[in-house]
Amino acid sequence: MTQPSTSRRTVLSGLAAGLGMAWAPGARAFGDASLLDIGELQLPGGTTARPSAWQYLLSELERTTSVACEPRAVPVDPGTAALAQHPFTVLLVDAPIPALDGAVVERLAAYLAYGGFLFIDDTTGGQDRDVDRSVRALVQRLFPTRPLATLPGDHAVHRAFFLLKDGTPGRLATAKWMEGVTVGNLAPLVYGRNDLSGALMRSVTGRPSMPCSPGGEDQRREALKVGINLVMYALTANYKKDQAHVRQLILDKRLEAR
Amino acid sequence: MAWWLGGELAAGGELLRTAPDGVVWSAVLGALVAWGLAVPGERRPLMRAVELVAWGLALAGLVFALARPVWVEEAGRQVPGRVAVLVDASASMAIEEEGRPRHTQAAAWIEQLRAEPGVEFLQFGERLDPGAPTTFDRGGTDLASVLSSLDDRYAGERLAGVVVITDGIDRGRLRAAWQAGDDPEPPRLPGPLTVVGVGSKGAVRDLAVVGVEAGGYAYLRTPVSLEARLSGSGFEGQTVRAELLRDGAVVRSQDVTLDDAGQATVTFKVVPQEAGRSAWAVRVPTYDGDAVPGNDELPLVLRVVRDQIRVLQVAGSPSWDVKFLRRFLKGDPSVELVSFFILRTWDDARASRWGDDELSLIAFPYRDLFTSEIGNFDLVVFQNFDYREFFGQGEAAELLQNVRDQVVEGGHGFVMVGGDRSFDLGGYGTTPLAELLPVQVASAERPPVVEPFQPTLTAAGARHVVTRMTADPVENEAWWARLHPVDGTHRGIATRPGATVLLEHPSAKGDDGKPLPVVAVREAGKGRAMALAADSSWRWSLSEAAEGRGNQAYLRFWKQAIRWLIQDPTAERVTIDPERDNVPLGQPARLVVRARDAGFQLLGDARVELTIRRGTDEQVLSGVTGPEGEAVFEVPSTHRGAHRVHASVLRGSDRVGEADTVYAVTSRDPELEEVAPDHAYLRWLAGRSGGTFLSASERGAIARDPSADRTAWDRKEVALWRAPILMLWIAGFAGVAWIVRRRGGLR
Repeated sequence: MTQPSTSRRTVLSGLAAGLGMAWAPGARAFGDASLLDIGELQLPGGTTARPSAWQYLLSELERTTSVACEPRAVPVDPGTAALAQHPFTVLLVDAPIPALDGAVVERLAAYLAYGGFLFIDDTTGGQDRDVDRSVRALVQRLFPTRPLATLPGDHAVHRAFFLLKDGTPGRLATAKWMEGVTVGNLAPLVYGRNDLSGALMRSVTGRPSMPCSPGGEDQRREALKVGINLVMYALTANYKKDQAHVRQLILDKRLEAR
Repeated sequence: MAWWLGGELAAGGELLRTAPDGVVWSAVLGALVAWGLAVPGERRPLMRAVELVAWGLALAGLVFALARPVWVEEAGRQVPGRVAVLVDASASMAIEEEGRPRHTQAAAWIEQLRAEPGVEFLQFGERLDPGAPTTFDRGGTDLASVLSSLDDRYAGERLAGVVVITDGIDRGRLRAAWQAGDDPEPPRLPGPLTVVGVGSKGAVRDLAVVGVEAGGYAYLRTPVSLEARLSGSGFEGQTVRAELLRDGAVVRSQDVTLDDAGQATVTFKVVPQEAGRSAWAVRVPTYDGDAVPGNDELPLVLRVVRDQIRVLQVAGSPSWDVKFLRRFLKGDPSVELVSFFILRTWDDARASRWGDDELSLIAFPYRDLFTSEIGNFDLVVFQNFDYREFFGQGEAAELLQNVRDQVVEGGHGFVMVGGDRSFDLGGYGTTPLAELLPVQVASAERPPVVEPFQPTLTAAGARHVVTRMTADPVENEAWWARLHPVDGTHRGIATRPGATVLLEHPSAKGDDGKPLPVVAVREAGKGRAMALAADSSWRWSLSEAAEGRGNQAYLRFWKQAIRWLIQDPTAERVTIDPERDNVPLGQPARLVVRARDAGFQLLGDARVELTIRRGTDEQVLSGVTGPEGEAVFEVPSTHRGAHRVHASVLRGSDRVGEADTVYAVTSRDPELEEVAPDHAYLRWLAGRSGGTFLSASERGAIARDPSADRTAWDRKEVALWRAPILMLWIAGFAGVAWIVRRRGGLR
């Protein structure tokens, strides 16, 4: 949406308020199963989990957008059918990924081929080259013919909700842009090396768990925008590359015409 | 003496045997045996000698006769070479010029040429036949083909001359190439060519539509130009009115001025609103003295196809259901998708801590979409979309009415997909869309069913193309039974009378006491509508794939649903195809009806009722499909004009389906699409062949080749084997031998 003229705001806000009275936010969709949550992949041998980061992200997503969420992170074994219950999954990597069983890789590859989305977050912030190598090895097994590549600045993931013009930072800002595997014109797998979950993670008191460097709180704010865009991209794919959107954004001078 | 010999025998003749060798040798052998049988027996030596000599002479005569000897005499004489006179017998030669048919000019030349030595008359249209024509009604002219056949006809003989009498309206490849600016080589002729051009261009007054082009087919709801070519002899520089007709009624007219050559092009732009075939025609007025009124109108059957299915997907919120449907639609190359997802509500906007320049959001152009643009979409999908958040008071009814009108009156498709902003929860119970939907929508919101359930396939669903995943009913039911459950459904809806419920809740009932409909369809006016009262059909894709069953269930369900919704003819179980778009008056129109079962297998033994309408006339025919699923009808063409055909197919008491088509019956003679004689072409033909051109009004000499004179051989035959003297010879000597033998005491 949606910025109709100011003169319409009063009428529309009244309508929206009426709707809000009819339905409490948590009652949306047909049961919890239909609501968006995030699956945290748990690999054999143990995988880092940061559920508070995803809870925070989904809460902000629900507050900011029209998406109906269940703000939770659910541990998911990628070797089971439960994987398909969570079309948005994350894999946090703080140590080299162990070699996965072929059946697990096969199931994960099918999940991504049939519409699932995976965000791999290097929680070392690109500081551990073995972590990076193991991620690339896993991606190579998932997509033998499609290499990871930097997602360009005009990629739909950078426009899915916010306009991300200056990069995709996390707790750190090691790499300006994220990388992804493109199949057709979609990227079902995105790889971030800036420890996004580290920027979003919250303590039990609700405060940020780790400082962001080098940009501090402004960088954290940007990281939240990256997180929201990732979820919106998983939900809307290349919707924001549709001509109607691009044309209007250029007219509004929020994008430069090419 | 001549009588005794069977005819006069002159010197210089030649004796020929005409009996086969076998007959001759058999006769010789038989004669020797007979003679040998006469040798035994006691008699005086003289008597014996006389008898055997007489037998020998009689038998020799018999053998001579059996050899069928003929006396042959041949004598040669010089005769002039033959002249082939080819007269055009096509219908254009019957066109009247100044009150007289054009062929009367040819008749004068025919009379003149009868006096020429060695003349043979032939007539032609698209082929060559012997004799001068007595009627002029052939349906085509192909000079190249006709001239090429001369060599075969005369077996390579050199002719003294070839004369072609024609008006030059050659519809074959030779003139077409010449008209295109080429310089084609005419066929090689066995003699020098004289072309006699009949007709006078200025004497013909005729206005004709000579061609209408639309590029073969048109795209639905996309402007297409119907370009008509007019030709007017006697109308050079004049302005005439051309009319475009649809099903016999004038829909457009346009004035057009013919150039100095009497040619003009007029273009009508139309926007087809229905896929399939439609009958059009371009017509010019019939003026007094019009040489060929039959060419004043030219019919055209326009085939309208969908270039792409244009789909508008409006979603009230991003969700997995929205994402998977968009993914499916985007992945189908036959779909042109325009999506609008509501990414932020007004509540979100008010509470936002983000600046607008940080956002990649655009205004939802709902007003344009649902007024000026709505007609461009074959299918509109409302996916969990609550109009109340956007449509202002007073305009909601107007905008939703536009959607309703596009379906009911425009023949488009509409789907409402469930969710917390759909059906009763979107407040649609009191909107114009309530009239459209295949479910009755409660005017007040009802708490939805939030427990997952396995939808049940209804009896109608087992047959319907939307939910028929496989041809085998048992397998189809098993397919639906094993699909991943859906997460919930609406409670504020109920089955609508006249709609077809395909999937229903296994236990939950609506206010009407019937199971809650989950998937229902309905033909609404000219269009079609579907309700999917769930927001988790996406699980038929990802969850099924996770179980190792792929996503075929999801793809087939949506693909079949869309094809049914947009009334894609290929998705119909019954099709009807005319063999020809334009059927000549008097010839039968051949129509092929094909029927398929729900699994799209060809269906035999189905009863077909065919209704053919032309204006208010109606004709009903019936038939039965054969094992190959086809029923063929041959319908006499007794009247001109567009004929609309409706086929209805039943198998037993079950309705298989219906189909419509159109064809045109025309009395137009292709030979008469042009009426002005083309003497320029004939001059070129004569010159290119090294011959002579003469106009019919001239009385010049035709070109002749003296070297083509030939020797004619007269042959005289006398059949000696029938000569009386030979019969007398045989009988005489045989009689003498017999008498001598009897005198000798033998029998």
